[in-house]
Amino acid sequence: MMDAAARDGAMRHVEICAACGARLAQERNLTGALRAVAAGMKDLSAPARVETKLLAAFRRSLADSQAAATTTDASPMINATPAPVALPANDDIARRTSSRRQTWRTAFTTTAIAASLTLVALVTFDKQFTQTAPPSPEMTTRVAPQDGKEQSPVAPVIATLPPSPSPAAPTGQAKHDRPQPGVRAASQRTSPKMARAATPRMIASRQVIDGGRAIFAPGEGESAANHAGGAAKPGDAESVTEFLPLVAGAPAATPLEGGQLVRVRLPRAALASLGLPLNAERGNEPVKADVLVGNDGLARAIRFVR
Amino acid sequence: MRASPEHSDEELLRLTAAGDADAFAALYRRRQAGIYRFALQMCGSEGIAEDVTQEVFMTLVRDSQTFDPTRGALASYLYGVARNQVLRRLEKERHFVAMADETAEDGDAIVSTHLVAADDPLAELARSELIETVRQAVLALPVHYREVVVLCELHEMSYAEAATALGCAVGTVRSRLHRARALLVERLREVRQRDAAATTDFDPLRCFA
Repeated sequence: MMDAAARDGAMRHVEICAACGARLAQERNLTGALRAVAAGMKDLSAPARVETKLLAAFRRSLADSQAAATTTDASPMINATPAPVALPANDDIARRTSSRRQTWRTAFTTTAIAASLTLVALVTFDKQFTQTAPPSPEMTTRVAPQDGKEQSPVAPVIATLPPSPSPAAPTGQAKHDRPQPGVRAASQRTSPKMARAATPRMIASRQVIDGGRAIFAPGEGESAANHAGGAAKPGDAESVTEFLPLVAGAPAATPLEGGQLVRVRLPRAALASLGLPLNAERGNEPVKADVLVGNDGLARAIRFVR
Repeated sequence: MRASPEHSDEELLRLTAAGDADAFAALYRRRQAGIYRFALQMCGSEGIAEDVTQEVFMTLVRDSQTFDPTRGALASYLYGVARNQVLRRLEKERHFVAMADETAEDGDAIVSTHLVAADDPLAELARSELIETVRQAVLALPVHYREVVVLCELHEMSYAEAATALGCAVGTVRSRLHRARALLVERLREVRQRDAAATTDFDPLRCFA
């Protein structure tokens, strides 16, 4: 509402100002035209068929709701969800709405199934991986080679056992377990076979530092190549350095009872920190390396991959 | 309780939710014309307006619990649902709006309604042309201006009711309406000038009889 005094003032101004007078006339014309449009359309309404369709849809949904409620009362534990509104099959809107709901229901079901399958796969994988973990001494006794026969091709050799020539993970097996080029995971632990192959039989070996170079002294009947070269060599397409020790002093006294070989990317400056030559022009590029991490969580050794 | 014309919208909605078909029919008959006209004025297509009206009341059947009486009247809620449906349809079927410019090219004259006499056929024709011209001018407005013009000018809603239906502030409605009216004035002036120019440049064909 406009103040009467202000309105009177504005009207007096319009009488003496031609521009404001013209603008007021335009506004009045527009208001009149809009009122004419509103008046011209005031009798318009939706066709009667719309009401017919809507009432049919309403009654149908009501009947379906009541039927669903009856079913729910009969078996509350089976059909505990509220019944959806069912719409007439010959109603376009009902069909569209029903289709949308069906789409959502399908998407939800698919997602739930996918999540379940993923969970099952994870549990299965975890079980498999757990079986490949270094066994306890009690288990070791059970799987240890007897009478020179190999009980399991993947059973680790334990230090408490007498040295045996039977290779638990022969080089051929390790070669067979090599990953295909281009599909190698960042951590070899993701593949149980690779984990078996890459886990050196540490107790039978003894970590030594020989002039800052090679790592494992083999047990009897084993060669260093079986450990570092055969088992852990990532593939023919890659060339690797020898393992370089990362922990000074203590590892020699602490036997390596098992571990993992983890593929990492490091700044190229890490080469210099280990006393290796560094190309300054490529100083910003990362370099791939395999880190041998013991079961105690300590990084024992590293080798670089090209 | 039987539905009757004395029932408010909210009471009819409550009865509808309880399964009263008569209440639903009464509510539909009370509100369908406004919703239909709103959709028609917004999109200019009877088919779309019909679909929108149907969808609005189906929404009421399906999701009547989404209406919150503390936030505004049921009519505003229905207009809000209709507006969302219209915008969705306009997004899909832009060609219905594009037709407005085509028709406006005809150059209809603008005549004030207070000059029209009811028993004057020429004036009645001019009035029809005026209505069509303004209707097309409204349809040619951008959507956010068009909806405030339709609600506040053609449906005579208050700013507060329009703000509830549109889900915006009252100040926004005011400013949009002001700009929309300015655009309409400009648009109608162009049409009038074009019409005057066409009349001035009229060159009758020579008669060789």
